[in-house]
Amino acid sequence: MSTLAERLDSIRVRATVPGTEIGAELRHSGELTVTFGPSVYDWLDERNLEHFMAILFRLLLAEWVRAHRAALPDEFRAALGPDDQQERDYLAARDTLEATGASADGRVTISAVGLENFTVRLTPGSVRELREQKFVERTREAFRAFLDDQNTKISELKYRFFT
Amino acid sequence: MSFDHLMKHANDIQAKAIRNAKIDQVKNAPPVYPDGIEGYYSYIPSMFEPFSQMPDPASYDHMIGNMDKSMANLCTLSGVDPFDKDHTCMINTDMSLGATDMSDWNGKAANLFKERFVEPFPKYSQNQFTLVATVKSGLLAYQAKWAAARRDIDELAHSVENALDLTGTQMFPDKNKWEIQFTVLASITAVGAAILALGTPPTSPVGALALTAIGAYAQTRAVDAPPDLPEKRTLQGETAYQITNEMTEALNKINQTIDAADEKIAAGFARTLQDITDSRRHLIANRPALADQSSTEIRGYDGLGPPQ
Repeated sequence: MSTLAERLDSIRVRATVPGTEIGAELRHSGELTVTFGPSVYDWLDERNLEHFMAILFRLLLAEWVRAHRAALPDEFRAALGPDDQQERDYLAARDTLEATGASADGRVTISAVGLENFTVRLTPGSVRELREQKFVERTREAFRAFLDDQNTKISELKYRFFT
Repeated sequence: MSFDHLMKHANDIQAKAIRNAKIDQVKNAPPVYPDGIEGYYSYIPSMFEPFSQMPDPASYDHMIGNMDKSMANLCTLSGVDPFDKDHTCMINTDMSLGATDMSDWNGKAANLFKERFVEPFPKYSQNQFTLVATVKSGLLAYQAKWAAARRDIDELAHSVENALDLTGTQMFPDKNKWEIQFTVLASITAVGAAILALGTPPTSPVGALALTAIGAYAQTRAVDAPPDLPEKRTLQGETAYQITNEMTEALNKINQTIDAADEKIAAGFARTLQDITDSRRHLIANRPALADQSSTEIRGYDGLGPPQ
C-alpha cells in the first residue's frame, strides 16, 4: 500500500483551453509542460497567447487543487470546509493573496490573485523571437517561480492565522 | 493488522516531525527549540511504547471458549446466549432428569426429593448457564475494549503521519486538519438483563429476577439503551510542533478512555457479584436433607426406608 507521500508524488493533472489545442500538464512537484497542437503556436500573437495561458493556468490549478483534495485520506476529507471565523478569515485573505513569478530572461511573467485569477504577461516580440520549445521552457521556469512565490506566501499566511 | 507496526509508525512520526520542524524553522515558524529539534522530538517513541504492549484481543478467545464449553454443559432449557448473538448452545439432554426417572422410588422422602431437587434441577442448571453467560459477557467487554483501543491508536498514528506528510514539503491551500474518533467507550455497554428461570421451592418470590451484565456492544443481542456514540475530535496543525502537540493530547485521551472503560467493566462485575449473592437460591439448590441424615434416619421412612 502506497503511503500518502507516494500518492501525492504521483499526482499529475491536465487541462486544455476550451476550443483550442493548447494544453498543459502539471505534476505534484510543480513541473509544468505546455503543449500546442500542430502549427498552433506559430499563428498566435502575444495578446492571444497571454489570454489563453491565463485561462489554461486557472483550469490547471483548479484541477491540481481538486486532485490534491481527492488524494486526501478519509479523515482529512471529512474535515474539509471552514469550521470557524478564523478559518473563514484565512480563506478570504488567501483569495486576495498576490503571487508572481517570471522566467529568468523576464519574457514570461505569471501572476495570480488567490488561486484562480491569473494574468500572464509576455514581453513584446516574444512569440516571434522564441520558438515553441523555448517558449515552453520559459513558461515552465516562470510557473516554477510563481508556485514558489505562492507557496511561500500561503505558508506565511497560514503561520499568521494558525500558529 | 497495522497495529503490529505501531512502533515503526512512532519512529516514522519522530523522523518526519524532525524533518518538518527544520523546514518550519527556516520559515521562522514558532517555536524556538532551546535544546534543539532532535532533542525535543526524542520523546515520541517512548510515548507510543506502552500502547504497543496492550493485550491482544485474541488472547481472550481461550477463556471465552472455556465459558462456551461450560455453557454447553449447563444448557437445559434454552441455548440462547443472552449476551452474545453469535453463540447458541444445543440443549444438553444428558442433564434432563425427569419425573419418569426414579419412577420406582416412592414415599415421602422420594416425593420431597423429586419435588425440591430433581424437578427444579434444569432451572438451576439453566440459571448457572445464565451466570456463566454474564461472566463471559464481561470478558467480551474486555476484548472489545482492547480491540477498540488498538483501532483508535492505530488510526491516530496513521493520521499524524499523514498530517506531517501533508505539511512537509509544501503548504496546501487548505487549513491542515483532520477528524479522529475515540471508540473505546462506545464499544462496551450495559447489556439487557438476563432473566433467571424461577425455581421451586414454592418460597420463591413472585416476579422475575435478573442478572445484569456489562458486555460488548457489537456482540449483544439487545441493549436497553443505546451505547455512548464514538467521540469525534478535529485535530489541526501546520507545523510539526502543533501536530505533535495534538498527537500527545489525543494519546492522553485514549488512555483516559481505557481507564474509564476498565472502571465500567469492573463495576459490571461488581454488580454481577451482588446479583449472585441476591439470587443465590435460584442458582444453587439447597442441600437435600437426605445428605445429612444419620445412618438410622436413612433406613427409616423419612429416609430411604420402606413405609411403616
